[in-house]
Amino acid sequence: MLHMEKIFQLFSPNVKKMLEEKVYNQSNQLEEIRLRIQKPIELNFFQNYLLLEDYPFTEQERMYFLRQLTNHSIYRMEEPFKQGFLTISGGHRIGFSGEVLTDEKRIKEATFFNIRIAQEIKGISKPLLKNIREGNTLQHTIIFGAPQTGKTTLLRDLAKQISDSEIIPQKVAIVDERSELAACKNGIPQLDIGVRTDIMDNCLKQFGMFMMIRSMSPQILIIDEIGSKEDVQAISEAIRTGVTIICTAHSNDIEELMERPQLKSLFEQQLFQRFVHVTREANGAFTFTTFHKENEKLDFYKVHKR
Amino acid sequence: MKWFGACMILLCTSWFGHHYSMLYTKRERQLKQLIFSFHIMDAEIVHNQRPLQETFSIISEKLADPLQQYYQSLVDEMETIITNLSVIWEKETDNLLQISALQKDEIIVLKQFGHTLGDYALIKQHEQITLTITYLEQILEQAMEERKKYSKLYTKLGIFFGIFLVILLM
Repeated sequence: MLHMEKIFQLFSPNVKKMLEEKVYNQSNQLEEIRLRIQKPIELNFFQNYLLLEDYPFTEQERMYFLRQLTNHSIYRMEEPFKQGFLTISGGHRIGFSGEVLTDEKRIKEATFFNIRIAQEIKGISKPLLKNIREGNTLQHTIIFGAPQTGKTTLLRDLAKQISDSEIIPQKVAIVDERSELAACKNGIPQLDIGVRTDIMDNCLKQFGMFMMIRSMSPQILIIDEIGSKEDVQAISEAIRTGVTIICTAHSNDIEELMERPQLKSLFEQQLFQRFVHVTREANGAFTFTTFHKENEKLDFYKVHKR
Repeated sequence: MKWFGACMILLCTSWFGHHYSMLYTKRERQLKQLIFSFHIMDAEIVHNQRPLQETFSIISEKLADPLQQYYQSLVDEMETIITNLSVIWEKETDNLLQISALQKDEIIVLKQFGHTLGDYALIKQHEQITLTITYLEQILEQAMEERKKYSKLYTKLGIFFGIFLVILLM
């Protein structure tokens, strides 16, 4: 529960005590804490959710939360309110919504919060590594799955395993547009992404990729959630510079992935050699199915979450 | 012995006169320092969006006592998790009244400012700081007039009262 301490400290003493009690035995199952003004606090576990009816998120609690979040300096929320999220120590990400100032394209008053708990599962990508390799060379890989199936968790661990590998360690570069992979705070990664990994934090993927290639000479380039036309164009060009790309995308199955309009051109060019489908089972176990090109199933692994 | 006693009486009354006179001078100087500290606060918050504890620390390094002590106390209090900054601000501001030449008027302005500190978005925080600087500058103007009026008066009063006492006792 130590990794949750940074989150619990954001709440008033009563609420903090209640959260510690409710989460005590299942802290590694907790995925989100949702706060909505005047509504009960919601705890989202992998398989279920809990609404704490006796603990509404009052205006007083909201101010307490913001004060603790900013160390009594709420004026510092100017940038996070433009981006819509903030990463705190421990790598946890807090998303905001509420009243927006349309002209300034930022939140004026945040009254809804989503605290996404960072969970590192070290070693979870190890069974996958041999499947995305040909001899000693890693292949261009796309990891896909439905939302909240663990693609980012897997990608994060892949970066670490490749970077720290004793067999074929590689220089890894991460373009972390939404600060989810490395969860940088003031430029310092809060999560373990490997000793030979460089990060471009909070940077648009289409710019970050080339900045990394030009300045950091990576061997592996890791990108989360590709989907836009700009991402696709940047990847098409980046792949041709000799760097190996490992990325993720949203899709329920491989057929759907191949049909995604923005990504179609990537697959038509046959740039990717490996496709990894991630699913979660009812008990929380991760399942990886690796495809070599379309419909040629390579291997099937089930890995239980610790 | 008589002359020695007379000198001692004159010295004491002069010292008291000078002491009260200096209070006006000290108050003026400390008000100027206080206003200076708010300008630093404004710059650090608006341009650097620095957290309050760091801002207080920077301010404390640039000032002399007692204001240096005031801001350093705030830094020290914020080392642990605090639930309410305005309570701590009020406590330290009350303490400032005891250790400085500042008077009730400026202490009230400081306490009022403490109720808004850190709770607002950037623009509104900047406005609160600017407003507080304006109030303090008005108080400073008054303090400067009082110093001109009363500072020399108390010095002279001290000396003349001493002379009067000496004559009376002789």
